[in-house]
Amino acid sequence: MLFFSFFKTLVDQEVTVELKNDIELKGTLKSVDQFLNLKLDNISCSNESKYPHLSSVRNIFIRGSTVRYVYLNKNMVDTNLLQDAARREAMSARK
Amino acid sequence: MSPLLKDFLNKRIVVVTTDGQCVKAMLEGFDKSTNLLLSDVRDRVSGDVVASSYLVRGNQVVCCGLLEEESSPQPDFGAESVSAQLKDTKNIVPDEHLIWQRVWGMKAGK
Amino acid sequence: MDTPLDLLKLNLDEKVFVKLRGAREMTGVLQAFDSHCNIVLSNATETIYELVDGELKSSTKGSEMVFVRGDSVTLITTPSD
Repeated sequence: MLFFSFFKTLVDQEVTVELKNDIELKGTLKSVDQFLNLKLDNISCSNESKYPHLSSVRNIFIRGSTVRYVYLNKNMVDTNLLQDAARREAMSARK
Repeated sequence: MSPLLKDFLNKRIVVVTTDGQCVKAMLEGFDKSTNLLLSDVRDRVSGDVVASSYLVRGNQVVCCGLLEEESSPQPDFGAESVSAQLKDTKNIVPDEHLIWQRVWGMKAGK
Repeated sequence: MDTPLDLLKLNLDEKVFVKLRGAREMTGVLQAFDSHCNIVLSNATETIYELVDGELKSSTKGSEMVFVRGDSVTLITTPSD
């Protein structure tokens, strides 16, 4: 649940998602669900000249399982809070 | 369960699959594992009809994009910079073990 | 009992080396992880290796904050240098 909550704090921020098929999409994060499926609005494809398949698409649903990286800006993340949340998650995960 | 796709219902979307296929279609239905029911399925590049209806397994879905308007100009897939075929998501690198052998050797020698 | 992932707690806020699928690796400061090995790194540098005509080539890309999906992760350790 840690990263579900983490991504919820990033809603309405601009992120860049790199997919496992090497497509890179930049857009505003609009929603996330428990599988870390993402919805982005106003997307632009960083490698559109190679992959124009998603031109004329602004609003996109990305299946979480096909995400490789999500690039963020430093100022979007409170690192102390995030590290504490990770420690708590590790505690609660051990059964 | 997952309401993220609800806004796309009965709209024309672009679907990219894990094996690199890319189609335009109408979204008729979906479930929480992202299984998709599509109709009027056309190839994204050629525009040829692929099937009148299609069930895409959720684990083969990469992304679904909402097509802004059907009249928006078709991208020029013939341009030199364009790779009309998308990559798959398997990320199989031939001889990956040989690459790592070289990398670790290089690091050890540093 | 400590699980392997419990030990990762000790690496929080420390520099880690992450080996990834597809001849990639990443170093950065570990900010978060979960049981799927999803991780967040800050000040990260990704290196992609490839063999071109038997020659080892590498390209790097830096990012100030990045989420890495766990299914790409194959190893997390402390960097050797």
